[in-house]
Amino acid sequence: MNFDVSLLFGILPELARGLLTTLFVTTIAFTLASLAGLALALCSRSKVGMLQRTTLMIGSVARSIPELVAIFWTYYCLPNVVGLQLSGEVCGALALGAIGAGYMSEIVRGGIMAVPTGDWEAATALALPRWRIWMRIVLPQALSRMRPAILNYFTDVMKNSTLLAGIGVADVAYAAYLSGAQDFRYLEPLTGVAILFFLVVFPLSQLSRRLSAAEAIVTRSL
Amino acid sequence: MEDLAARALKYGPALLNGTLVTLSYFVVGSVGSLLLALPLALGLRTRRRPIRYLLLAYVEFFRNTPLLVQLFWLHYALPMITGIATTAPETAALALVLVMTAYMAEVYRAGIGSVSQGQLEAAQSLGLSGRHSWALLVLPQAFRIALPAIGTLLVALLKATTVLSILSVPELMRVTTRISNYTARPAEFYTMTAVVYVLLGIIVSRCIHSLERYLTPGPCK
Repeated sequence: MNFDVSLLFGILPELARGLLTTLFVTTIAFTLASLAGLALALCSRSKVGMLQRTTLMIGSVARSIPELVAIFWTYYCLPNVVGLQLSGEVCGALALGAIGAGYMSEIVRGGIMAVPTGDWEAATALALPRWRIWMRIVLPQALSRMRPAILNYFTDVMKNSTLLAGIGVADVAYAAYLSGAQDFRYLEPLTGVAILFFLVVFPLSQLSRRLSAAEAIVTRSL
Repeated sequence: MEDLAARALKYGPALLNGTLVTLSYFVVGSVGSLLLALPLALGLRTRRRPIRYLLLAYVEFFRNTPLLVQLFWLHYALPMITGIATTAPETAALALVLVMTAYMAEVYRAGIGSVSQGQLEAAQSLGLSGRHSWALLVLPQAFRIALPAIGTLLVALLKATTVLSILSVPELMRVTTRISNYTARPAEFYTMTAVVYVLLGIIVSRCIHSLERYLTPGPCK
């Protein structure tokens, strides 16, 4: 069986539409996960033991629920609970965002914990106000340490967004499958979409690897 | 509430069956990748460029594409090339082993990389052969160092088995979907399935954690 490139060009519009859906879902899920993850991470540093334990537990439960289960749950159960009908894209993004919050909170927590205690003490000794310590000293350092993990996590969200196929959302992978199913020529669309994902994800994960290698050298020389 | 108990009783066996199927894929994926990743991780260290690049291409390709796309590709596109059609469970097992081996090789490689060079030099000065020093010194230590990452990966594998439901493999997620469609009670069944996955995940990570403690020498046990 020959690889028919012209067939791939024929379905480009469908794939492009699918790619837009993928990007939409990824962006929403990633933003949600970042905001909720930051909130969880800050709560998990609280001095109130109850709050700390609860947020840590929420995070670890969120991390152990399979993405697909969360997507199905959000799609089929959430409308009953809140009483409004949401589109598959939105449901999927909510589910991925909720699970992502668990991962993101751990990334942010690790980043904050990696800031040396001496920096805190120095800032406190200089009588800097609390929000200034956070904005000018802790978060910038934490953020640069978190970059590799955040990038990695972003590629994970992108890969997991394909799972929305389970609830019938035509993201780029599902669009490829559907167009293959139309005339039983699966080879070209599916290979095309695999290469497409590789071309997007691989550079990001290489960049993440570079950044974390650079980070390691910086810490060692200190 | 009585209805709930009745339903739990009625569909319990089917759900249990689904859980067992999920666990069998988990075992296939974990055992297959734990074994196959070792030669792969060692092969990635070879000085022969063509072999190394080939292995690296395999690892990077599977790590950087979504599992669903791999499943679709192996199930629908690969038979068009090879002419051998695989059933959904066969494709599922193949995909899980292939993708997990790629991830696991990376974990092994990091583990091997963090064993200090001095260990190999010490082994050499004690007159151990290259093969012996790797088998007795480097690999056991690398495995211990890699254990936390292996644990994370195994939990990810457990979660990944749900994706097989899209190929209609009768694992827990698929069974849940069918029952919830049939009974029109998604909230109950999906919530319960989520709880089952969380519990299984906790069991897996606890097991790895105790293995880690068991293997750690010295008083820090």
